[in-house]
Amino acid sequence: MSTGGGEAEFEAALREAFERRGREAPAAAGLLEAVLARRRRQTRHRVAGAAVATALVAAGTLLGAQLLRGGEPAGPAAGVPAPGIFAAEEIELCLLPGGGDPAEVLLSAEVGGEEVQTAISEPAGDAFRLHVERAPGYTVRLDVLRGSVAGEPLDGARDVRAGDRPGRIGDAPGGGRVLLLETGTEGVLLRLTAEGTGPGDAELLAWAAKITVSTGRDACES
Amino acid sequence: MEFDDYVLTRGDALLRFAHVLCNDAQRAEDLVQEALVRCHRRWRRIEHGGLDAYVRKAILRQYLSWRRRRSAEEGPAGDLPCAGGAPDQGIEAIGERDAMWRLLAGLPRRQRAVLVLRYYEDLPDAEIAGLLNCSAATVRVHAARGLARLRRHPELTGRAEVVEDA
Repeated sequence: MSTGGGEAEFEAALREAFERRGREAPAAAGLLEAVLARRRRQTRHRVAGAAVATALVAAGTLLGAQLLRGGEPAGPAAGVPAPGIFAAEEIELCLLPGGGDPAEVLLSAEVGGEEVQTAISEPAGDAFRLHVERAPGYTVRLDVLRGSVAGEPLDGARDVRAGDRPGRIGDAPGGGRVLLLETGTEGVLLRLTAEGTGPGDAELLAWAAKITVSTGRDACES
Repeated sequence: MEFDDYVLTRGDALLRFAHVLCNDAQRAEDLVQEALVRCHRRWRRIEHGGLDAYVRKAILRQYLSWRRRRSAEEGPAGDLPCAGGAPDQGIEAIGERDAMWRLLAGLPRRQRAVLVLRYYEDLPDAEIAGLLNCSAATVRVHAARGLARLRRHPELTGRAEVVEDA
């Protein structure tokens, strides 16, 4: 800008540029039909997804109760409803690499029509602390950390699967029930930690089965 | 107002807003369609005095969503005709416009969103803050940084001087 009065001119030029771009926008003819068609497609997709999720939850609950507790009766917290993001049909995680390790971890889940998104680019120690769900009487924490499922200390651990993802579940030495799962990326794992009078193993496994993990920018954004 | 009536009466304005935000006709259609689908699900629960703000916020959320930074999750349904057509300015003017848009496209998304809301939608900072879920002070910071970045650039400084000298 060559003078102080150039401020207004500059802003006017900006407005003019925006206005011009606005005039070049696509017309709305056919927009309503396109929106309604898209809505129908998404509804069909959700119905199919919900059926799969329901089957997974049911299978996880039955198997978890039978296998993980070794036939013991379910604890008092069994059957707790999924809190927050764990009520979503799908929880998407994205690992964006940098120098061989994740440099940024993104979380996205749609809960009640609202999209919850978290982006963590600074790990706390070895862990990306992605999300904490606080429910009455308990909390569930979701982290992504460097390490291996076998290498993390757990008391009384058992091998488990959440969906097609192998892992281990046990008690953390510092307290809390911990589910560790492979992410598909070597040296990077998921950790769900339940503290308090919270969900049983079956619920943790069912909730974890909703998590999908993508690695790399192209995979994450396609 | 019924959803269908709203889309029919406000569709053009929504597409213009999205197009100014993202600078791409196809992405603008995608942003608007996805935002409207999400709004459609809860249409009855939206306070109808605030429909425009609600839908605009939904479009902004789509625009700022990390999942859509590079490519759209789903392409727009159907081909909508382009109203604007080819610009009728001379080659020089097109060059200036392209320079402006290249620079605007290089701004971080939040800065660009703030500038669009302030200079295209003419919204006060407090309202922009509500749409972006941040404070008015943060809006001012984004605006100041965006403007400073544009002003610093020789191409746009030259363009502003042309305007000033005209």
